[in-house]
Amino acid sequence: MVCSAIAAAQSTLDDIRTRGVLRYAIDPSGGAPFAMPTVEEPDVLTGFEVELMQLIGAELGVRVEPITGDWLALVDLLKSERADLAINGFEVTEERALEVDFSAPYYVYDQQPTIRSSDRARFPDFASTRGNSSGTSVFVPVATLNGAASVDVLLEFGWPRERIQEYDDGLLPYTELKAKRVDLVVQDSIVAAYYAGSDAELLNLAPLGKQGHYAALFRKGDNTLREAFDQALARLKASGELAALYRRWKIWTQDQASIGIVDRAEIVGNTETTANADGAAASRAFSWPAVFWALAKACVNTIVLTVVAMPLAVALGVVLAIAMRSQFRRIAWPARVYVAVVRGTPLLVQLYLVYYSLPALGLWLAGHVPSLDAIVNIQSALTWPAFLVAIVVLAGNYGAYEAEVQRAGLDAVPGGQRRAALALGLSHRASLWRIELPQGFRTVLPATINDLNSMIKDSSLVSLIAVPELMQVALGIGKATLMVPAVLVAAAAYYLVLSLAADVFARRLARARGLRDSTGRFAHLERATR
Amino acid sequence: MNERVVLSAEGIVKRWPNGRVVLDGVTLSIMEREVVAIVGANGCGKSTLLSVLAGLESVHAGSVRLRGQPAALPNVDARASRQEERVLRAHRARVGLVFQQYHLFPHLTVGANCMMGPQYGLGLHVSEAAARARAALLRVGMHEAFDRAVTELSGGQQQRVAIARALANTPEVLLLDEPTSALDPQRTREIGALVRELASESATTMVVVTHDLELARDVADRVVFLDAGRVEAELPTEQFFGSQDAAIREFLAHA
Ligand SMILES: Nc1ncnc2c1ncn2[C@@H]1O[C@H](COP(=O)(O)OP(=O)(O)OP(=O)(O)O)[C@@H](O)[C@H]1O
Ligand SMILES: [Mg+2]
Repeated sequence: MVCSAIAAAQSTLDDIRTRGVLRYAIDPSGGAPFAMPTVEEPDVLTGFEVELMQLIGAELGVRVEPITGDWLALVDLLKSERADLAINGFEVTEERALEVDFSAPYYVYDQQPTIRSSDRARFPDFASTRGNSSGTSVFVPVATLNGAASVDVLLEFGWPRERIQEYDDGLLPYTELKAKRVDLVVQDSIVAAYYAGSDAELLNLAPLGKQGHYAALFRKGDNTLREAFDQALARLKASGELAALYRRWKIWTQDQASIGIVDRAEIVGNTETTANADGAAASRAFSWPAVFWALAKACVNTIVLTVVAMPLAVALGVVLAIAMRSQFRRIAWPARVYVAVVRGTPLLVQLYLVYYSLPALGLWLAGHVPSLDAIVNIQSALTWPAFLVAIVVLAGNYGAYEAEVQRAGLDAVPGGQRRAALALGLSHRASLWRIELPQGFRTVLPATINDLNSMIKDSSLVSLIAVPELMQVALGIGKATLMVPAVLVAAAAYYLVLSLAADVFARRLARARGLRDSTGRFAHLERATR
Repeated sequence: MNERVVLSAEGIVKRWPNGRVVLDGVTLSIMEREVVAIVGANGCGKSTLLSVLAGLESVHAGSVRLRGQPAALPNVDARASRQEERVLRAHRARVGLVFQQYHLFPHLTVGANCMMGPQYGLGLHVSEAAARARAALLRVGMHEAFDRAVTELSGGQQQRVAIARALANTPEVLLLDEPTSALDPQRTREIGALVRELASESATTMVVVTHDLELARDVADRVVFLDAGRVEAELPTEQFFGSQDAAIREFLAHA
């Protein structure tokens, strides 16, 4: 209570020292070589930024912990204080500087145009993709990463917006290029080196000389932490450790010297030739048993999510269905509004809002209602862990669908059933729970099984927030190993198995017959009508 | 005959929401250990009257009493208070109603159907409720079906279970709505025999709505003739069947 007030007055750096943990926001499905799940242990990340953070942590004397989320949401992870900093190929731009503070740069990238090798004659250089020798403009269709600096560079070179296709991850543009949906990809050189550099079908043209910097992001005004980070980074630059790290990931370029990174490769030894130390090569190693095992482990989260969230959703659906059928408007209307709003908005948006806005709401409440904050630290109380948010949002969302399902079930129970129950002296409540709901539930069981099935698949959406489930791990591994389609098919096989298992389970449930046992209790599910 | 009144209705008026009058001032008394048959043409309001007596319908006017206690029937335009709800529930639990269409609970076994009333209507312990259910099923000859699903039973067996379900509450009065109408001739005879048997058991007070005049003549002490929501005649059975009243004669001739 008093101590929470003091803690609030302390800087983030002090908090980190007290906790012993520095939390950094990063997107493991964004792809190599920045950050990705390891095949052996999907919960453990690898990538050059992951290793950079480990070095920083060692310098600061704290453990570092990745907080994972969708790339576009990483800034929100930072702002909602779920992470202390964000690091994931963020280019230093003026727009971003309005929102966050930047660390010193840790990498210099260039914009790298890539074409199909077969187009070598057609496009000998970057200029030929903009206009031909006779002076007419061409501006071939180009693919790039959503929200990246390359979009601004392309606009600067005169590309019309409608010819620029943006994708959510760094690998897809190259897939599109190979599929001939576009003729050109412009991306950060580091991404191009990893994905296109090793692909004989693709050809990297000369970089555009539009250098930019990657830097870590901090909350505005969080100066002590930013300065401590910068000092640690400066030591790594000077010692040659950073250069060695970049060589290991095959992303070293001469440009790096311009931000003060000292290369002592000659002194440390030629690390590039050591197979074990080759991070890039290691992350590309692919073996099916390892992938299947990694996906199986990721399945556990999917199963736990569904097994916990679905019963909650059905329970909520039943309560909402009863409320919607109530003759009291004050009960019926809120339920109807809830169902309409939740069914009418995307699950993705709901997840995002709950996950990122709750801590902000806590911060606001703590500032505006100090008396409440004296009783409980509101912000930390509202900063629910990602898994809890995932369960609550999934249950809340499916609860709305189940409400309609269960309402239909209740509507389908003949009125005589209620009259017969009341005639025996049952209360309205007993009639509802003992007679009407069990019958309604049985009638709509197929629809509920359907919902269960779609929840298994919709649970993949929770990777937007930091829950590593099947889909996120599959994408991460697929991109790191350059085997996205194959790994996705493997993931689909897992989904199919889960879905079939759910069907079998549900059918058993439907067949269970409500016979009284020796103690006189009886279940209310009876053998399905044959 | 004991003259103590078990169940009585006074000046019952009921209209459907569409304005149609279904009961137009019905007054009726059922004495202890009496068996009353209610007869009348289709749609004259017999089933509705039983529902009113059982405490299932709201009314526009009139009252129903069980052993002199008002049943707190809901008025159509007023919501019942908590106290009224409780009185009404107690009334329902003490009046046994067997529906024309049975309305058995299809998701429950025979035994569970019969335990519902004792357990959740009367609030008895499960073991006591099970004992009541078994006793009631024994009276209708269905005790061996305790663990069967009601959906597996024939129509006649379902009618027996429906009667047992009402009897399990040990009601003060049993209201039977057309106990033989949905059955084939063979089952009609069997259920008829069961109703006669129940009627002959000295403690049973019973109201039977029926089109089966033979059954009415056999079991009833008194016949109530209902026409267009009004009690047209209320006579001892012998007098009813020997009546010279034109309306009764016409009804008997067509039935
Ligand atoms: N909920 C309702 N709304 C409007 N009219 C109704 C409703 N229920 C029943 N009725 C009508 O009220 C009249 C009396 O119905 P009731 O079931 O009491 O007749 P009954 O004497 O039992 O007929 P039957 O011999 O066919 O069983 C019928 O004409 C019926 O159509
Ligand atoms: Mg009827």
